[in-house]
Amino acid sequence: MAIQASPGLKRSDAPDPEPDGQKRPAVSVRRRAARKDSGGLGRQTAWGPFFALPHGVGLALFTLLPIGASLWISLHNWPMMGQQKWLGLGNYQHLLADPIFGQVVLNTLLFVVLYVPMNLVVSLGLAAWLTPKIKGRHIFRIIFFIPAITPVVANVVVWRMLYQPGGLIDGLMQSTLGIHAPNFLGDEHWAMFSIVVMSVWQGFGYNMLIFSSALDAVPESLTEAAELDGARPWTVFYRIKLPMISPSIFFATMMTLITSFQVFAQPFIMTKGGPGTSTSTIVLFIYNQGFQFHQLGMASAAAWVLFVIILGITAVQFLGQKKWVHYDA
Amino acid sequence: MRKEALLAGVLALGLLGVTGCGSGSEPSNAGGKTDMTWAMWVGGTADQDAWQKVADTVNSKVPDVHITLQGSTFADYFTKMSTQLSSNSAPCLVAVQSLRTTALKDGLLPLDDLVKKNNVNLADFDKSMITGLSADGNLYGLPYDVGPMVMFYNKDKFKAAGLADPKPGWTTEEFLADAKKLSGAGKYAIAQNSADLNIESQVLAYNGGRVVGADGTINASDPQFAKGLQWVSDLTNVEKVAAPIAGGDSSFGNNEFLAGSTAMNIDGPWSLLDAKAKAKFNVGIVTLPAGSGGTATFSAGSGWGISKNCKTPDQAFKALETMTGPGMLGELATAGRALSARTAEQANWFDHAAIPGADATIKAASTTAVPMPSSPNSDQLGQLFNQYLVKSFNGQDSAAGVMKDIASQLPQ
Repeated sequence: MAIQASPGLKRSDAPDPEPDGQKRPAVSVRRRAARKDSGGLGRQTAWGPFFALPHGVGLALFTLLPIGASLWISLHNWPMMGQQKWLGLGNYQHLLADPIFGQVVLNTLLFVVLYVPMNLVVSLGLAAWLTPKIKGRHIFRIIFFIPAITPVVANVVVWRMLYQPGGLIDGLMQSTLGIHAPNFLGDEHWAMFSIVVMSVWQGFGYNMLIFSSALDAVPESLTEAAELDGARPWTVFYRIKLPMISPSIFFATMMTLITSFQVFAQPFIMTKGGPGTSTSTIVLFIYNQGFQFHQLGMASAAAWVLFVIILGITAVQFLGQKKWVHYDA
Repeated sequence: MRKEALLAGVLALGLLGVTGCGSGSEPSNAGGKTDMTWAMWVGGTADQDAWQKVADTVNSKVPDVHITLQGSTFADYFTKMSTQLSSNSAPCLVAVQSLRTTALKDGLLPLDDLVKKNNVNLADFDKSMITGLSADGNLYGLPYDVGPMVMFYNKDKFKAAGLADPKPGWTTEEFLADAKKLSGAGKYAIAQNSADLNIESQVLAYNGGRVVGADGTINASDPQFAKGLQWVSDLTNVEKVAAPIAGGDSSFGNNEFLAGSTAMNIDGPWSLLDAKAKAKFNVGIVTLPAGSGGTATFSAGSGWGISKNCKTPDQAFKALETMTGPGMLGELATAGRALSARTAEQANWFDHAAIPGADATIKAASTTAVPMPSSPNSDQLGQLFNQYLVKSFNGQDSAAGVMKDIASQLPQ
């Protein structure tokens, strides 16, 4: 904008804005200032790369180089120790034909399909409940947010104690109902569901905070007008508040979806991916391939498959947002 | 302008330098001493103190070396070490477990030349450990401890159940009879454990079944091993004497035992110091219950080696000599931390372990123990045990079915 405005200053026949109509020395002062600015801009341009260098070096070393390296590694048989061998797309072909990797992808999708809606419903529900009318809402907000800021490892260890045979849930069921609770983490039918429940507890606080802030920003005039027109609370929420916070819902959905595809700590600590492969997720598979089985090529290839899955789903979400996200509210 | 540009350039180069020199600081030479790091697994405060004492001894006795202890949990140690060794960022001194020598050897320095040069007499060490820390005819570590897998038991619980202390050589029938008396009303005599050394020793003692052959080849489809694993699994599903396992948690059995929830746990003599420090009951040890073939178990042990990327192997070896010397191993044995890999110092452990009958148990177990073989895929097998054995333990699949799944994922 500043560059577009500057030619105007250089026009000697430009009408003087001063009401007295007299030519004033201020114009030449402005010209000098403009020339000085332009010289400053030149100098700034010269300095620019130097200032960008630290960040540029960081980006190159810690982002671009690892991305390029992982793609290169994924095209090789790359044991952690020993000789590397060029495979081309061999690792990718192996992964696509590997029934274990297929199961791992399905497990990850199952986690995503269970976790994302549960997370959104719980966080949106609690955010809707925490209206300014609720006494001590700030305290509730903090309490609900605590699991999100506690280290996931600590959370997982505590939940493992709740879930294990003889743990809190089993103990309570024995003392009240006289029956044993299922072996939540040791039974392949329960293990994934148990991990999802723990993850929802751990993760809903962040989205709740986003939704709560977005709901607070909905103008009261809109909701009051609707109420005057006889709209019931559910209609106000569904027809006014929900569309108004749709950009926040879109953001939260997208971020939750991406992070849920990357789930690792919960199965890694609670089940090691078992029983069998029932809780093995893609990132856990990548970790095991890389650091337990020492096959860095296979691990990198799986990481690229995960990247493509996430990229595809994010793209679909961006395309679909036109139908339900209202930025013009 | 020129000056400013020059200054900016110098600053930028400085930053580049800072980002570029994050690693490779080992070893450094400060105050006439070569600094080096010693990577070791640490099981708790007692363990940490014992290892720190070793580091202090080296620092006071070896004039030109200063070592710093870098501890990790046992569960994380090998993941971390294999990554560090492969990226040439491992510390100079690294701990090696006998059953993982083959998996780590490519990142370790063969010690044979240094042993000759410094006249170290390998005959002073337990022969099985020299074999255990060797691969392809090269020695990759000097051992500090050795020991057969044995059964730790809660003496107080046995007494409360009206049971006599089990004697070395007890059989699986005697074990089962005692276990039944120690179980019931939500209590179990023992907890299942999917850790490789534990489960493989238990099966070996029961029927001689092996998943890793003496030459290190893995045969996960071995029917005898599956039969033994089924017997172990039936302790939960049929006999109801072993606590089911929650998930891939290899510390569950040990935690339950130390908390007093179960009465027995399979472990090695290296854990006795930690068990005595943590348990609020009298700890006893006895041989693993013997099945059809008589008393049997695997022995394992650990040592310390030098990473291939160590720039000062001669100094590192000097530290190793002190760490595994008679004085140091004698002290570790006296403290109860390690049943010395030097045969002459083993008596110290028996004298000071303060566990009545420990010597009889260890001697009986050692007589029949065979070294746990080392395989290049031992980490992979261990991970698959953690993932799959829970299905067999909890009765969701047969032992043979589980071993078939494991076999399908191991390199043929």
